[in-house]
Amino acid sequence: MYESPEDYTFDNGLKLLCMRKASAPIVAVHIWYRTGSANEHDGVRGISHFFEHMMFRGSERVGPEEHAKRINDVGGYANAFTTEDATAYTNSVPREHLSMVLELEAERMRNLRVTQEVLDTERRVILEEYHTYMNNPVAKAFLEFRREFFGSHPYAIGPLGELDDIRRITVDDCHEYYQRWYRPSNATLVVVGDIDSTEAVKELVATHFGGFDGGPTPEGPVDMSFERAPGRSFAKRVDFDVPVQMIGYPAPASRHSDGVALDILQQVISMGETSRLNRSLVRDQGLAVLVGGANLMLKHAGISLLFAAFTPDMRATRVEQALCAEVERVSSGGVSEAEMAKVRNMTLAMRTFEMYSGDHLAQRLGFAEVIEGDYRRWVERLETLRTITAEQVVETARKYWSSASRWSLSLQPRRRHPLLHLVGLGRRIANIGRRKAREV
Amino acid sequence: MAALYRFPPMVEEDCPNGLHLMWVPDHELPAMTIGIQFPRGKLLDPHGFEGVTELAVELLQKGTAQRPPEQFSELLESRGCSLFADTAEEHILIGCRFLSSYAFEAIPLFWEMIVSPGLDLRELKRVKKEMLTSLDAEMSEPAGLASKHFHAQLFGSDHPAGRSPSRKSVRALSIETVRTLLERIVHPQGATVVVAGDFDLDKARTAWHSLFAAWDPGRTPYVSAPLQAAPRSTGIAMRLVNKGDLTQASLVVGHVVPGEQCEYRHEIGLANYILGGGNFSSRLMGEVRSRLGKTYGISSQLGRLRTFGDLMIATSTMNEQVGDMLEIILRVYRQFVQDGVTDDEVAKARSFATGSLAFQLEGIGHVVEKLLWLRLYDRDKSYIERYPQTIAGIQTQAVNHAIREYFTTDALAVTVVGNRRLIEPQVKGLGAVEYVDYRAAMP
Repeated sequence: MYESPEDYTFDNGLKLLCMRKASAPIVAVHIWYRTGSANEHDGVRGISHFFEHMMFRGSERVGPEEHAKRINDVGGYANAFTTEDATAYTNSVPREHLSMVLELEAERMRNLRVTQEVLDTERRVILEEYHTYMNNPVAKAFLEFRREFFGSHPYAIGPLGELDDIRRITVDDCHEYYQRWYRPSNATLVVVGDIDSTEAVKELVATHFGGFDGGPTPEGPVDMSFERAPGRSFAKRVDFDVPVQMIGYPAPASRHSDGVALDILQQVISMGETSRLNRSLVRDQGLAVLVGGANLMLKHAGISLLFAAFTPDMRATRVEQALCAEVERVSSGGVSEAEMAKVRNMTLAMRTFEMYSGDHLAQRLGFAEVIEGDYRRWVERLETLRTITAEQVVETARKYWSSASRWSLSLQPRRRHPLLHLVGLGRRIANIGRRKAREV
Repeated sequence: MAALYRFPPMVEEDCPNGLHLMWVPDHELPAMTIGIQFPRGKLLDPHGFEGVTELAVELLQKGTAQRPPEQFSELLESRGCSLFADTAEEHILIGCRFLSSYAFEAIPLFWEMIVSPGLDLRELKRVKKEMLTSLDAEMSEPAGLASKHFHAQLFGSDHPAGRSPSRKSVRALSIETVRTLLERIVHPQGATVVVAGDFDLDKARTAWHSLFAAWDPGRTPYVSAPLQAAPRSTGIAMRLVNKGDLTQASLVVGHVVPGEQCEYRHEIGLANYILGGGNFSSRLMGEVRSRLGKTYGISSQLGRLRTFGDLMIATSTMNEQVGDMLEIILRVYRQFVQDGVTDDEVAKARSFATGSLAFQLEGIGHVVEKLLWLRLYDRDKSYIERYPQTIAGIQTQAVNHAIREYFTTDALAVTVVGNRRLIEPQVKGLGAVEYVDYRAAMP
């Protein structure tokens, strides 16, 4: 039912990843372009995401929204997303419509049309999306935080862009962007699902994408190296009723050999009921209501985050100290073999359930190829997980989770009820009383 | 026409205690899922104790009478097992996913959780705190606030479908209210257990059939009368919920519709796809987003329970555009109701309905969900297996009949969450407006 993925590069530079999964009569077709917000400059911040929208707005032979409508009409789904390093277009359709999807993707890669009228209408949509995002006070605060974190690096401003730039992007800007980045040599096509064979898919791709040579692979920004600045702390008052404390550390590129160890650390410390943060901050100390974490490892650099949401009567500094104490405990006390085994089992289970979805598989392969450099890394990671030792994991914690490089963001509700001060004070007095009682 | 779908071979049996078992072997991947569905849900929350079903389902997952919460979680998570739950208006589904190599540990643990819950007091306090924090976080989610207010407006805050958890109701919850609720919901009578995935059928039945069949809670099952709902008023009733810090407003427009038992349920579904359920293929998206650029997204959804449901047209837009947006939505909707739909639109809606079936059944997890859904509405598996033919047989005339019968402009609820100062002047001409502050208790 499942076969190993195969790859093939066409003469025009287009790379195809193909994997047969015959358990359901559907096929996922994703196309990844190696361009994102990291390729932008002042004046056109947000153009990658803007262009993602324009790719649905018609070409020489396909009318506005026609791509999405044709996919809908056969019972399928079409979507897209923009990141710092890539823009991906995803389609899932019943298997008999594979050729149609390839034809549609080839058409908009080659013959997109951008007119002033459509640009202006879509600009309004993008501004609506921008404001929807910015109406989330936590998301907005995090965007500001990451700008400080990445400093002058191309990752500082994310795909959402800058409002003033979005308002000024022109038809010429779009044409220039399209011609530079949307070409076969800059694209990876991923096909996963109920296909007849890889050979059959290759023939179809050659039919639709052949004869189009958009030129060599374009170059991105020359210097993507990330200088880790010393850690800093930020505190903001936001229109959000739940205080949140976040700490973050510079993380390596997603393909870096330390990536697997960092993911293990994240699972040990923040994932599940039995994670260290949940045990310590939520259960034992009652400091937080919800804890979690994530490693955002992009193509060239990243950030490893931990956070806790707590009640307004709790002091943020106390929560921050508790988060940092758990990080320190990993570095000084290590990770147990039982924890390593748990992470292996959790990862294997997650991977297995992921395999049921062709769309998900296509996304994983595309990410591994375009962001990590090789689609085989998706499988290799599992092998590394099996062989990596607890000592290697702890070494990684000491390398990346150091207090000198720690950044911190504290979000407090703008509106604070005065009674909460008294509740917090009362709680602290009661806790002192309890501790004294236990000491007797 | 899409290929006919056939469920994988399975064994079904009824236990003397009223439990229905479904054994569904599938060897696609070395994984399994077990799920139990109870045909009772959040609509049973007593007045003043809204949130108790959600709390009870969360609490169920925190340990058993024999194993404290941390030990229980460790036993599951160390083996990569993960619990999941769905707490809906008329049903509860609780399940566990795991690698098949751990089946003989996971299934007994899961069953112990169901039949012998811990109901730990400290966990109750923790989960309550979590729920209160979620309610606080919801204050910053205008779309969620709009939906809550819309349902309160539509059904009335004295109707179970119009009520929702509040800080007051969650604080009122105790272990006694949870126990009472669980006694009503968690009973083998009417419940369905599905065991699906990579297992040997004979070995599984030998190992676990007696476990499931032996469950005797020692009490009679709770029987609740079916709920009904009717439009509360005629004309357009608007509620403007003031949240002054927003640059964008969230809007919901809609009315009561028939439930799942309606004989025209397919026609209603196709009509909704054309109106706003079909993404870029829908009339609302085509007009509001693609042609006018007024929003990032607009859709219409049907929330259907057994005997009634609601149509919700939901979107967001800048505060300054709310008046325009409402005018456009009402224009598109009136035209839809008055003129009906075309042959071409119905053909495309049918094509989506049958083509998308393959996605709804991709993977054993989706198959389990579908089997339980069929059970919930007393439907046979052939309902899905002949679905393409059923849809293919629906003509435009029938869809337009359903639109005339069940979609109306005569009794609409409109909810807007946004900046009152900017919005109020725009909506004055639309009819009576009720003003509420977003922090106030639900009227």
